[in-house]
Amino acid sequence: MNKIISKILFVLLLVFSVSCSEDFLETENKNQLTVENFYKTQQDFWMGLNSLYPPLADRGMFGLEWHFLFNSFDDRILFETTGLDQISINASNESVSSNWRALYFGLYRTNVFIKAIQESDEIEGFPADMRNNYLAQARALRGTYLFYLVTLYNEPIFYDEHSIPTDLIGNLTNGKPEEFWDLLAEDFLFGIQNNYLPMQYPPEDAGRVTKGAAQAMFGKAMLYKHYHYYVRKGKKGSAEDIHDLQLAKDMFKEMINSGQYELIQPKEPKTREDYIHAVLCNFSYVDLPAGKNIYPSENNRESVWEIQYSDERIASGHLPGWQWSGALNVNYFSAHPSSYRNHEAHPDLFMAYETEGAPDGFERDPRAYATLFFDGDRIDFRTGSPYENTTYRSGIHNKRIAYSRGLIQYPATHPSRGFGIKKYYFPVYYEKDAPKNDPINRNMIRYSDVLLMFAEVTYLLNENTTEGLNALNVVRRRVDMPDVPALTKEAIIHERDVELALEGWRWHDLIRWSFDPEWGIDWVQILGRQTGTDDYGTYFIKGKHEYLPIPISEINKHEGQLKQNPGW
Amino acid sequence: MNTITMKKGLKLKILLLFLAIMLQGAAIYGQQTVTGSVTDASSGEALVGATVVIKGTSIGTVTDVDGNFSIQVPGLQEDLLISFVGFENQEIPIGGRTVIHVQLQESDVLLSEMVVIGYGTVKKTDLTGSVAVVDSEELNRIPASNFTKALQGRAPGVMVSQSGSPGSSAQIRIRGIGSINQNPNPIYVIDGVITGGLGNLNPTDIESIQILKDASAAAIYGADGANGVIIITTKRGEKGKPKVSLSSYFSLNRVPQQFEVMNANEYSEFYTTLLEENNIAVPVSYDDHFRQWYFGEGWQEGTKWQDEVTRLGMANNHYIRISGGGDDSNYSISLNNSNEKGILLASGANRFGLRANSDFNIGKYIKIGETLSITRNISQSPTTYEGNAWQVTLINSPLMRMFNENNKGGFEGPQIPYEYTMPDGSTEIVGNTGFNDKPNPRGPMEIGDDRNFNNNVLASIYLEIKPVKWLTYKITPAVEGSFNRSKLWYPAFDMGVRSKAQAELTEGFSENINLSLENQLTFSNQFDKHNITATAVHHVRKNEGNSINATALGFPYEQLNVISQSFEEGRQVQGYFSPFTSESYLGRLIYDYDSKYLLTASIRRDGNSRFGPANRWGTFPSVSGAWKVNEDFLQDIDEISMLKLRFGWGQTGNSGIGSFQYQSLLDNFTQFSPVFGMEQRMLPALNVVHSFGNPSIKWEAAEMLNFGVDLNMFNNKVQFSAEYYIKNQNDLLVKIPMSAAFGRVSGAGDPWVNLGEIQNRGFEFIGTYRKMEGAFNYSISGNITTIKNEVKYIPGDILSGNNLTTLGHTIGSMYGYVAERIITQEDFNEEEKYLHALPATGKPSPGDLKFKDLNNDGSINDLDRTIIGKTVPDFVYSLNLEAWYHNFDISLFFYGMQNFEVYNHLRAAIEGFSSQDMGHNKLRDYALNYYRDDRPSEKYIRADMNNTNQNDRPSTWFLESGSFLRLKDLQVGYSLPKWILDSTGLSRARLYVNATNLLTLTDYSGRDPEAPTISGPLTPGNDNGTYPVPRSLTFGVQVDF
Repeated sequence: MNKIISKILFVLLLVFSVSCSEDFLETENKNQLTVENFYKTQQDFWMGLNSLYPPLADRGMFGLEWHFLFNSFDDRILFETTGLDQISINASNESVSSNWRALYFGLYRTNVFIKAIQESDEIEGFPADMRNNYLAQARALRGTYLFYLVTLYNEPIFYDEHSIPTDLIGNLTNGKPEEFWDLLAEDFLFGIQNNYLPMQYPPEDAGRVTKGAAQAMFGKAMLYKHYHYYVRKGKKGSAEDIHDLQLAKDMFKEMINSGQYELIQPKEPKTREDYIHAVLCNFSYVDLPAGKNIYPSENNRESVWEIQYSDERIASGHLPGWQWSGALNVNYFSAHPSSYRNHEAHPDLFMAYETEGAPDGFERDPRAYATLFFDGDRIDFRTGSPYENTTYRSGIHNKRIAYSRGLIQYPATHPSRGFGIKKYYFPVYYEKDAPKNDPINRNMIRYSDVLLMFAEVTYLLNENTTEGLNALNVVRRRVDMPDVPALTKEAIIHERDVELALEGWRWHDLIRWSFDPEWGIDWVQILGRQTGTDDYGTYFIKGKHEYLPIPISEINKHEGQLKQNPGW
Repeated sequence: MNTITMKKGLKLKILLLFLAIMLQGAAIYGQQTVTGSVTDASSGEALVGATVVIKGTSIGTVTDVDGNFSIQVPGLQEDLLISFVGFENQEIPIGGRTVIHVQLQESDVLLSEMVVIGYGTVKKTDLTGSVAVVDSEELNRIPASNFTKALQGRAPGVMVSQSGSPGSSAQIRIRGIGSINQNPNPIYVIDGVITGGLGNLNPTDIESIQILKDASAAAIYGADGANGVIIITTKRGEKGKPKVSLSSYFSLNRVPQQFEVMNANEYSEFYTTLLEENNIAVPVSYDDHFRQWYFGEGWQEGTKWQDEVTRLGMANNHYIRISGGGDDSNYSISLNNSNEKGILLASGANRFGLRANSDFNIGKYIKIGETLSITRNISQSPTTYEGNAWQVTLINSPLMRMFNENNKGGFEGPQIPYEYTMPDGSTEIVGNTGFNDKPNPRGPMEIGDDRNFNNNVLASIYLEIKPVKWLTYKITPAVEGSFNRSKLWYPAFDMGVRSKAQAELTEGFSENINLSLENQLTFSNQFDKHNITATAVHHVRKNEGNSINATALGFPYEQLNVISQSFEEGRQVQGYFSPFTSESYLGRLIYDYDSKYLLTASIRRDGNSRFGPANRWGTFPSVSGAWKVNEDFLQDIDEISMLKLRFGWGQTGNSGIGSFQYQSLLDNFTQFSPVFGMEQRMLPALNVVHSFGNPSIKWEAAEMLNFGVDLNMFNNKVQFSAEYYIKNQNDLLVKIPMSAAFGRVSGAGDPWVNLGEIQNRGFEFIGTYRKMEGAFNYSISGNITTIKNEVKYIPGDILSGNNLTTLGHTIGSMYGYVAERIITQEDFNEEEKYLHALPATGKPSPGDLKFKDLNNDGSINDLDRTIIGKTVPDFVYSLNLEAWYHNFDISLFFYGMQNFEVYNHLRAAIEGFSSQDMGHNKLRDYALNYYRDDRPSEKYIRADMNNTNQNDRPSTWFLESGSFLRLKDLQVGYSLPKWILDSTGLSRARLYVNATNLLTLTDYSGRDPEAPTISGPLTPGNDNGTYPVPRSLTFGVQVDF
């Protein structure tokens, strides 16, 4: 019996000799940092500040969806298939949700950053002026995101650094338009008025918000506010409206007088190429040659604020640009034969360029040739490029693209069977040594836009129109087109149409003008309608299509709380 | 009652007879009768139902109620083989006698009548929980490359879906779908070790499979048991001389069904007509002259893309096993090679496997043994670029040639401009495929390379000490290592608008090591009629996974396709680390009184590093009981051998929830990439917006009730079981769908919460009838499983594509519009105004689909979508017929799934137009019969290139019934007769021919209704071109020395 007991004891001993230490079930995460340990050092804030810029470059914004949505809606652009082209989207459209998401990346990150920097104690190696500059950059960026939210989505979700949502289930509601407009104005003015933003950054920091960038964005916002807020709310011409427009005008004027910016001018001997490249260099990522002259590309003196893109490859990230299998925007939209060419220019745009007064050697306003690809145009000017001598050739895709807006055949009067889009797609190529991401910077605001906005503000203020008229004519004089005699709505509409064509702003211009009947925006004429189908009207429905729908997924998440925009 | 011992007679009768008959094979020469009796050697009692067969033949009989038998024998020199469950087999030479009395010795309990239930075994008749036992003979007979595929239809309550992709495992769902977002797969326990490497297991190595279905059985696996447990025991050596078993088969596989799409002539004609009708200039590409010039010979027919990417598939499998043993040891070693060339180009699999195990008795008290398995799996996937070949081949242009030697890579692509001299002498640039821009699928398949290499080692050793008869201690250390390499290579190639500009190489390496140490103490004893077995287990596991993944772009010398030969700036590398640890305690008590009243109770406590700090430990109890009714009542009814009622309740969990979900984490740097500066440099960035952690995250819980009845009749010739279960899965992990206002990069960072609830319930029936007397023997068995799956709670609906997971419906239900019919002229008034609800955008014309305005708001919009179908079948059933006659055997295996829907995306693409569709190829029948005003159709919608009415929106129009009944396997075998075996020294040799998927009865119009059922829980039932299960013909041979 003793033997049995001892055997059993031995076995039990074995069993209990195997046991675990207390922290056996604790594993260390080596993949990612935890939230609690961030925003402690200057380095953390620098990293945090850097993270506030990518939302603009994100696929949801200028990385892709801006092209898909607003280029497709644009009456000057034909999209390959029906649908987007006819604004035929709904609240579950993925481009819209992608855009919405990108804007809230922006709003959330800026608010988290602003809160953290305001709450942080003094940090060694983080001097006050640097701190103020970081905060001013963050606030100008927040202002930018608020601007896009309120102008694209009417009354979407609003919060600031004091009201960052924490309730995971949501129950977020629509913001009030005043909340957006007031905070964004404060945000831009914070950096401008306190001089926390420099006129210029050192070369390695190009692309950050400068004082000029903040001023231009502020001015643009106030101009939009006039239409989106004051006109819509019946407060057009009110004291507040005038005050805001006056502020915008002062900002633009300060920029014009600063000597910081200039339009890139064609240089002697002013060949055809000089004219074209002086404009086109703003949409290229390599400097453009014309004889002995070189026209500087990105971040030049005409550039007020550019979203920076590089062809450095990013591992599975969302930014910048198009991130699918390393394919390029040019792959989808460019003029190159191997591109899908989802977009082409509408022949009406070509017709919009004036013939009268065009400089020697030009049938029309030279900007037509800087904006559009014609059969026979070279598509790449870089020496040694495999496409150095390749020319633009229409005819493979353009028919199906044109078809989408009921444009069955180009009229015989057109010199070309199809027009490619040149801006931002020049020079393009698609070959073995092609860049891995679309490297072309995106101009948020360039100087001619500032001049034209200045003209518009002075027109709206109805004062000292020679100043405004002059600004508009400065834009025309670059390409030696004759001055227009008077500052009119028509002149402003036309000049923005031809100067800023295919840059992604036309749709937003049309929308804001359309709020004010005086501007006479006729959607039927602009976008057309289906023939013989009166009961379906135009593609554009007034009171609906001015704003994007709030993504249905968001409406569902905040059930009953978040209201959809009218008509969607 | 007479002197027959009912108790013995009631012991479980697994049909050893069946085994014996498989080994038969003698010809019959004359006929003589031998009579006799079979009795228990120790008690002298007659044995009822003992089997008597002539060795090497299928001729046999069973003893009657008095233990007597009478058998016709071809001659008096044969040997008789007598067997009875619970007794040692006996082989008796007739030796000229006509009367033979046999006494059988009671045997130790045989493995085959024991059921492995995890941490122990019980007699099958004494089971209290729901455990399905799969007949390993059946499993071994079917030529399946992967044992999960062979499981199909073999056990009730186990739904097995497979695709034809070589080397793929089937998808197994035990008792419905138990998880929304986490792993819904069962766990696998091979020879006592929890493992992940099941693709590595060769079906022929399997001795037995038990499936623990209900919580009362699976609760012993606690936080791992919620989706069921599949317990596999591999073959071990038996006492005796070395035995060599060989088996080989060779299969030919065909695509089950292709679509009849248009050829080049039909295509050109179709689009020419269509474009002209739409006032669109017809591309010169469709012109006969151009086509002839461009395509050359065969231009009328064009390229038959489906045929170009498919082929006659082949598979072969070779297996050898050597086993044997002495008094104190045994061994078994097996080698296997399985090779499969898929029916789709560039798809295939190759597996090498080695398995070895042995057991040693050291002295009186100690036993040591080990199991080792090493496998290498290589699988090849087709490198289709931009699109699945099963889909692209239906819609790309038949006008496109296959090859183009001017293109890098040698293949032709779409929309390549050709300079063409028109018949009138002018020169025109003509795109070869007109509007169609779909790629050439074969090019990338031939020049690319996509392979996975998996090496798996599973080793365990046990030491068992049994100091006294009633106490056993066992310690089992085990290690499993899985080492993977994946390689995806594309050289740069030109294929028109579907070119690849840069060569690209993606390589991944990962290693997963799982260490496990198990201590088990078992107490087992009998006190009078009370039988008690108590088990205590302590188990710790430590798992560590590391992976690295690299992508490289641009290779100046493409023949050197290793990472270091790529352009440096085109490389990106990622690496991850995923550990977990767990610790468990288990106690179980199995009690029975007189083997009549049975009770099992267990409790397990599990701790897991993946659970949040607030919920590190969970407790999982279970209890089950059974009553053998016929031992108290019905004793007079001889026909009933056993009637048992069972009941069980238990709780289990699913711990497969990923590591670190409880922490709030920052984004990876790769989620941000701002560019600054004239030099356009990317700068690092980081912010507080990645994943929201939830410190209370824990296992997904399951609670199950099980009721069962087992009935064996007529000396176990008829066996029947019925079960009903309710399985409530609570605390399912769901992501709170957070608003994008939280600045989420994607939903990936949304917090997990244990909130979801799903209920699965259903009936399971299994019945078997076996006739095992005389020369012609047969068995019929069948099972039916009903499945009712319902979402009981979910914080927010989950819409993934056209699958909706919402309250009150089956998980992943089909969601869309109701398409009533095709609109005709009658639907318009005289002013051509449409009389019904208009779509929110677009405009219907005759020939479009009439969608139902479900909410009667006069408009067809998002709100008119509803649940239009379910993807989980109402029931799954199978029928297995086997028969033996002399040396021949035949088996038919039918398998079916009933009442579920499949969304046929392929049909949507070729029987209509989408807005991205310019020149896609169509079904020939559609092209000939689509709706036109002069030729109305009720079957085919109009050919509207504008897709104005959005006919392609998810709707019932393209939703089809997936119900099918399939003759899964038909097998005919022949065993060589004894005289040949004797003269060659073989103990068994069998040849067979097997046809798989010979016949499928279904209304489904796609290639295969079954394959689309495989998917994650949220997106089932979408046929986007899933790899169909091929039709195969197999020739095989099985030989034992």
